[in-house]
Amino acid sequence: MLVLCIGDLHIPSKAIKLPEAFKKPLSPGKLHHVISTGNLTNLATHDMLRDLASNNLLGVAGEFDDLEFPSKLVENLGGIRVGITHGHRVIPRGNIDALAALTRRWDVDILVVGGMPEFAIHQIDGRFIICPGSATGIAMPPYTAARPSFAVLDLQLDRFGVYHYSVDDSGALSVNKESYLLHEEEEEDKEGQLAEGEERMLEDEEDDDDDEANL
Amino acid sequence: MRNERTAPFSVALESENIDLREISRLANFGVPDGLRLRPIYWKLMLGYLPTDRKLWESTLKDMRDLYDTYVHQFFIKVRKSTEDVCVDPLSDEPINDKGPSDSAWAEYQKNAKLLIEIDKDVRRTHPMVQFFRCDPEYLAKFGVTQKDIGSYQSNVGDKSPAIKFSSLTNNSEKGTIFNPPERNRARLNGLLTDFDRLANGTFGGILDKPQVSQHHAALVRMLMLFARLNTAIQYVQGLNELVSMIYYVFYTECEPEERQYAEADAFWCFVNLMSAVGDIYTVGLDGDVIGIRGHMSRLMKGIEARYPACHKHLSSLGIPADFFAIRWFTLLLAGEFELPDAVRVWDTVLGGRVNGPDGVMDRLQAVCVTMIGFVEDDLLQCGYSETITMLQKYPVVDVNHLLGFAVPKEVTAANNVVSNSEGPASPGGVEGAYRGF
Repeated sequence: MLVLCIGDLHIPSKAIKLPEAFKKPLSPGKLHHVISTGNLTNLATHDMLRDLASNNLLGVAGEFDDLEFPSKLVENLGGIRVGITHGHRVIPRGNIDALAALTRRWDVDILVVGGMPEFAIHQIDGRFIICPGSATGIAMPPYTAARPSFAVLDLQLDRFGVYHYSVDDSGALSVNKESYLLHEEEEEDKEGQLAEGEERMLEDEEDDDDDEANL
Repeated sequence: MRNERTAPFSVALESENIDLREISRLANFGVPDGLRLRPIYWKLMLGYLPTDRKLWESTLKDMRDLYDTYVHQFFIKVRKSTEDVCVDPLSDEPINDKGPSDSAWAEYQKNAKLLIEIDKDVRRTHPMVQFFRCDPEYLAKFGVTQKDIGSYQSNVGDKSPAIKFSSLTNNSEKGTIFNPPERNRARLNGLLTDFDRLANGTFGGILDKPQVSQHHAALVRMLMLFARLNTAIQYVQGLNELVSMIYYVFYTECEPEERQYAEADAFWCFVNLMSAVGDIYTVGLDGDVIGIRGHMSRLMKGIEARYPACHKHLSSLGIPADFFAIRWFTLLLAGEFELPDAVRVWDTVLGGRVNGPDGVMDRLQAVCVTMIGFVEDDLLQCGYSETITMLQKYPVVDVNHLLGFAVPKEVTAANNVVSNSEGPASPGGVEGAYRGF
C-alpha cells in the first residue's frame, strides 16, 4: 500500500503553489491513502490532496488550519498502526524524546509528524517517527527554510519503504529510498517492556493535561 | 418420484468409471438437491475431476496445493519481489511514472487498480443473497462492526471535510475504525489466515474498506489470480457473476469438511469454464464467428428457425439480439434468473460439455432461443419498449419447464442416439442441436 505523507504547505499565506517538479508524481490514482500533517491551509489544497487517493485523506490540523480536522489520528493501515499529528503541541517542539513518548502512548508503529521543514526519520525502540518536511519548503520559526519535500510510505506486512521526494535549488526532483523492518524487537526481553511501562506511568499525569489541551 | 430421479444419479456417480453422457442426460432433469451431488457433477462436467474415481484424490490434492502456491506467490511473495527489484530509487519509484512500463512499480500500480475494480464488482455480486452479505463475525476479527462499515460507506460520498472527519473520529472512542481489537499481534494472527493477516480485510490497505465477508475475499482472490494468469481476458465485468455461482454451489453444497477447499476447486473449475466460453470475453474476437457477434447472429438464426413469428416481430421492431442477449451470454444466464433457478439452468448448460468443446455454448444458445419462444405469446403483444424491457428483465418462469423445451428430446430420452444428433462434429451449432426436435 502506498501512503503519501505531506504537510505544511501554507498555501496561500507563505507559498503560492507546490513546486513544479511535484506536479507529476502527485497525480491521482497512484496512492491509496494520503496523510496530511496539517497547515495546508486552504480548502483548494485540501481538495487536491483528497482527490489524490479517492477520498482516503487522513488529515490532522496544524496551528494555522481553519479547516475542521482532528488534532490527532490513529489508523490501522494494512495491519500497521500509524499515528498522525502536526506536532505543534509537542513540547519542546520537535523534540525526539517527546515524540517517542507519543508513539508509546498511542501505541503506534509509525508516527507521522509535521511542523518541521526538514525531512527526517528516526527509529526509537522499534517504532518510527517520520517527518515528511514541508512540501513548499517554507520557513517555520524556529526552523529556517529547507528543500521542499514529501514522503511516500510503501507499507507491507512486516516492513516498509520510505521514498523521500525533494526538489533542489535548480528545481530538479530527487528521490531517496530507505527500507526498514517493523517489529524487529518483537522478541524483546522483559527489561525493555518494564522500562516502557514505567515511563508510561510517569507520563500518564502529563498526558491528561496534554489531552485536555488538545480538546 | 424422488427416488426415481435421485437413485440413477447416485448410482451413475458411484461407478468406478463415470459415464459423462449418462450423468449429463440425467442432469437435464436437474441435479437432485440436498444430496451434495451438484459440486461433483459440475466438477466432472468442467473437466476438473477425471472420470476415473481412483484418480480423484490425487488430482484434488495436486490442484488444491497448486492453488495455494499461486495465492502465496501472488498475494504474499509478490511485494517482496518488488523490494528486490528496485535497486535505484530514481529510475524506479512508486508514483512518478518515470521508470520503464514493465518495472516492478508499474506492475504494482496496475495490479492495485485491477484489485480496486474487482473489489467494486464483488461488492455488488448477489447483494440479495444472504451467503454474500456482510458477515459480522468476519468483520469482528478486524475490530470493525457492520455499523462502522455502513456509516463509513454512507460517508464516502461526502464532500465536506468537517462532517467526514468528525464522523470518522466519533465512530469509536479510539478515533479510528480499522483498529484491531488489541495490540497483541500473536493472538490476532491466530484468529486469521495468512491472507487475512496480510490483507487486514483490505488486501494490504489498497482497498479503502475491509471486505465484508470471507466469501467476498475469496471471490476477489480468485478473480485477481485469474486476471494475472490470463492476460488475454484479464478481468471484465460479469466474470464475478460466473465465479460467484461456482463458488456458491461448491461452498454450500459440499460436505462441511470440504468447505475449506471450495475456493481452490471453484477457481480451477472457473478456469476450465473460461477455456470453454472465454472467447466471448475476448475483445479481439468480438467480430469473429466464435466471438460475441458470431453468437448474436447465430442466436437470431436460431430464433428464425424455431420461432419465425418472434423473429419477424423482433426484426420488424428493429431490435437486434445485442439489446438483450449480450448479457445473457456473458453471464451465462446467471443474471436473468434468481440464484437457485440459475443454478438449475447451469446444470443443463454445463451438461453440454460432453458434446465437445463448443457444447456449453451450443446448449446456451439453445436455452436462449427457448427463452424467446417461451414468452412468445406475450412478446407478440408488446411494442418496442415493452419488448426490450421484457427481454432485458426476463419474467419469472418455471425453469424446469423452460429447460424441457431447450434440450432436444432424444438427449433426455434414455437411449444412445445422442451422438447422432448432437455430436461434436455437428457443424451447424444451434441448427444441429435442433435436428429432430
